[in-house]
Amino acid sequence: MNLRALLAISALSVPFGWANAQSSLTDPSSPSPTAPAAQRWAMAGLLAPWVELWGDRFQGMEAARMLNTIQRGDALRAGLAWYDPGQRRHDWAWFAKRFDADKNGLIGKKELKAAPELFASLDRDRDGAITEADFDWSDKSPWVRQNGISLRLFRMIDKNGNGKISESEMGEYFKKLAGEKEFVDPDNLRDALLLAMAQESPKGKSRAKKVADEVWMKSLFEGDLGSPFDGPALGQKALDFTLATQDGKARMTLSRLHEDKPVVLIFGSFT
Amino acid sequence: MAVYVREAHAVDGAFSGNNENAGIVVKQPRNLFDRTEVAKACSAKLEITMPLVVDTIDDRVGHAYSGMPDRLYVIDQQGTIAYKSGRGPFGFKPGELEQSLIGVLLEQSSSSQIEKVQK
Repeated sequence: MNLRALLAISALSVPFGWANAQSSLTDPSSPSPTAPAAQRWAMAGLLAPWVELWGDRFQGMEAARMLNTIQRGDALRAGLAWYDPGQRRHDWAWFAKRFDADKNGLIGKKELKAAPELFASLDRDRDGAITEADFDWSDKSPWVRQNGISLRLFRMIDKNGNGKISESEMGEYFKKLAGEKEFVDPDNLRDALLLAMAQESPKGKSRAKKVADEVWMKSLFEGDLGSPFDGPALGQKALDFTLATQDGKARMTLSRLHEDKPVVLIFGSFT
Repeated sequence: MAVYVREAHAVDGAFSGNNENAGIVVKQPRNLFDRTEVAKACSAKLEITMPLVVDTIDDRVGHAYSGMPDRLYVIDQQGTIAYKSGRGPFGFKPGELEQSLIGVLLEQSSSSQIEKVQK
């Protein structure tokens, strides 16, 4: 077994290594992730040439793939880079097994037996039945692409970006489409849709040079773009923590929250 | 519950033109107080009504959950991960989360008749 293989194996065995599963992440006695994170990046650096060599066949450390992408100068966008699909217990197979009584590949309203709002939510494409297609969130899904086009059109009209198109914003857009005329004709509308569709896939694999490579590297290592850890996997226990709210009025403990109902965690920042 | 983590595109990091246009010019906070101030501004501007907690400045929860720059999880009543989104921004899919959450709620219901579900 050569040195690289040994390092690769040891890299994969430092997932949660630094966090004690029994105690809370935010206990003062719990270790800080700063040093282990730096270790993970060092290991990713050692694995990165293998990512380069193996390309898509490299199934190992995500951090190594991230580092390789940044080093190569590749663009960061859907379909490229490291944006893996989500993992879930309640996929189409789960729903079909539980609700598709007649096994015809369709779950109808009667088969779901739940509140109509839930059916409407799950029947994403509004074709009257919940099907496997309704569970496809990849970029290949027609629904996902259509949703993307619709969102881009929405953002073109929602000038103040608050997620709501006001009557005046719609009026402004009308004037923009109509130009000097007092009406919008079929060509105007078609061109607007084409514009929303055209922005779908920028060409080329390389990053635009707006941000220097060193800045991307620094952002990567400091954790702005992503953590070198993998996080808990599907089916694993969620590590507990206690953090203060932004208004300072409360401290929330995760384990208390999921005692009586499921918890959604949303990680993010302003920028 | 929202967990506020490191800035993805701080002005002293990989600064983004989109943020500049929207007037969101933020330096990477170096202490918890500063991060909390940014989190407050974010919460106000985006009209966030759910609880928003602020991660420690050494990014403990962010690293444990690999939450940077953004990510979604559903944790069921047994404290187990029922859904983990891909890494954001492109793995961040609220629609996929919603389906998973419905699945968790349907799984937990004692009978398959749910009359009203509070989202």
